Amino acid sequence: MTTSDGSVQGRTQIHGRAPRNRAFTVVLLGDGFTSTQQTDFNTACTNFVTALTTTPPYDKIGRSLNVWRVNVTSTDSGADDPAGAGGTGATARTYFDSTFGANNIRRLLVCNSTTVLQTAAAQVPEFTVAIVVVNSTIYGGSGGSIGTYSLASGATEIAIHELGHTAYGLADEYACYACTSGETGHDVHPTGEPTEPNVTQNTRRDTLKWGWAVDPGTALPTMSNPNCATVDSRPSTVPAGTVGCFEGAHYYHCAAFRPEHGCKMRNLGVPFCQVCSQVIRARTKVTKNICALTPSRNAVYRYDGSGTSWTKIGGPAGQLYAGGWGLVATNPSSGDLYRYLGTPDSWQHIGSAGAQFAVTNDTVYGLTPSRNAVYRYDGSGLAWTRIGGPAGQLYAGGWGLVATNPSSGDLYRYLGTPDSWQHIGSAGAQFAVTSDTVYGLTPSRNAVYRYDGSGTSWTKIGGPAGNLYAGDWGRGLLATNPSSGDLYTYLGRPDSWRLTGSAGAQFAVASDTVYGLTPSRNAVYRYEGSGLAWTKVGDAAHSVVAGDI
Amino acid sequence: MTNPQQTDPAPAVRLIFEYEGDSVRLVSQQPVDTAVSSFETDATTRPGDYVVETRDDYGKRLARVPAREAFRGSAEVFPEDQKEPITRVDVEARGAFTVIVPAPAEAVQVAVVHVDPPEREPRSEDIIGPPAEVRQDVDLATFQLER
Repeated sequence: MTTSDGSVQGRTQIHGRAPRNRAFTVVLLGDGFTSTQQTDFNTACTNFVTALTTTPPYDKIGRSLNVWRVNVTSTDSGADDPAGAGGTGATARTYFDSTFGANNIRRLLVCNSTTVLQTAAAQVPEFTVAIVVVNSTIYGGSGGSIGTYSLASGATEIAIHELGHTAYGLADEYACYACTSGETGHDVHPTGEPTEPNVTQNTRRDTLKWGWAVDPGTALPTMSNPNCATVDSRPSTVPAGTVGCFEGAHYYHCAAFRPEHGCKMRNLGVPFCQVCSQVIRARTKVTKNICALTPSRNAVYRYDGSGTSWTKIGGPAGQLYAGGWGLVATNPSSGDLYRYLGTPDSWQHIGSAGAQFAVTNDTVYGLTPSRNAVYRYDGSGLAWTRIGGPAGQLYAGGWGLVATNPSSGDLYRYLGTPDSWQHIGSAGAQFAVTSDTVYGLTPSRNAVYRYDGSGTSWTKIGGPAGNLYAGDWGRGLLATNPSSGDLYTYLGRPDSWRLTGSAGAQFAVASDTVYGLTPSRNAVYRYEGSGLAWTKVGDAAHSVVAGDI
Repeated sequence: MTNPQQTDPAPAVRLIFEYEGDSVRLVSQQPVDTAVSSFETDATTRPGDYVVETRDDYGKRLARVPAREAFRGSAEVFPEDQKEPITRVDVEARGAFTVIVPAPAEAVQVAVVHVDPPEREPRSEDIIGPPAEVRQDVDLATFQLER
């Protein structure tokens, strides 16, 4: 029942390509797998990666997430299953000493967390979260500073829920504690705003912490519990996916609210709500996410993430481009392209001048100076591959690369292999690529459309707009009013938009929020997520860009 | 983009602690090459939370990160039928946790801190101390950083 009951075999990275010192890193460790069962552990890890990366929002997070497995052999197979907790009475000599039946509850599966953390740190020092996969088909798991789960069907859901606590600081959204019939002491949440981002006692629209996601037409509170003596178990009175304030959360029947009726932080087997999804997207990215070019273009600064602190990371630049792959900048004299390597003043020359560049999650694309060909950076040295012919404009984001035909203006999506492009739409005044699709503004700027994902089918989602801005925050799209310049956030349904701020010279949508340059470009502001509150975070700038920087 | 030069990232240290009740022990400290996210260093705290601080020679706080899920006196119990509610059960506050803290050269000490504990047993020295309603953060333990 100790580390003498097995040995650590080694580590293997099984998902992700993020730089190790700037990644969100999950480590999976096996317990109760004998030396001849290591293939079973490997399969379990593959299944976990599949489960995680097909669970929104992890399905769109891309390269920020690394997953490692640490193979550990145990003398015996399985885990202890005490009879006193309703188990078989089996005992197993395992490296991390896993046992079902903690607190006499059979499905409460725990292990030696000190040994787990020490092993994970020795194998993958930069790990963010450690999860133990226990070789048993008995249903069980637990959370805390480490997560555990068994091989029973559906148990990966436990690990994904627990990641919400350990890695992201999300609160439980269920509205009871022991949840027994007649539970007392959990009727009304004590006064005091929880610090977690997904529960609140505040239902004021102008100060609600997830106000950025609430449609102006949604009532607040959205559902109130008519009987605080018990959990409100009624179905939702509004369409699924509606963000508002639903009473019952944080272990209390009343006086605490959650953002949506359903969420994985409330029940297993359902998706994360939009608010939790946003928190996960923002916090999985260890990198900084906003950069600015000084007004005279003589230096590049990276926002440090709080207050008004910025760090100079580079000298003169002509243009900045950023995205999931990182930050690139052009030399103001030669036009040559440089990639930022993550530490101040450390840049790599990766290409020659181009008419335009665009950054996706995987690489950077460039349009030749004469716009007669599109090239893809190969990832090392100065090697680029020609992937397409003439283009008018390039647009990129997590969904990939699109380009316009220089003659017709028609829009084409790059399919991943040279000269393989799909016609997906007709001309537009502007396009914007988010993590899951592309949005377009009609040539006369009188309507915003969303690409439906197949053929040339698009859906109208909004009226006239001045400019579109795309990125990772929220639903990924913001647009300006063509008359006032006011900024609106798209809420995910046609014609559902929310006023977010007043006019600006430029906006950049990062993973945590949206940043804006004042109309005179004399200051950078950050949107605070509720009401119309913005905070000044920087002085004058020529431009701002957002990405994994 | 001129005169490129390599700059080392800010140093960081991984700390692993064991705890039982409010008693805490530093199990290991290990330099680690990783960026400490502002999500950690800028995290909001509320009374009752636990954090880990690095401090300089004068005891001045240099950085503070949350110790999430540490010292927790309950555990989640997950239903096999996912339509059933997740519940919590009281458990002994005992286990281990880890944090990564920024560790600049001037950091010499690390402290595990209970933020503004909401309830505190009166002690004899409190009689001459500050009024009861003026609560303060409480150091559960301090340890020297190995530099």
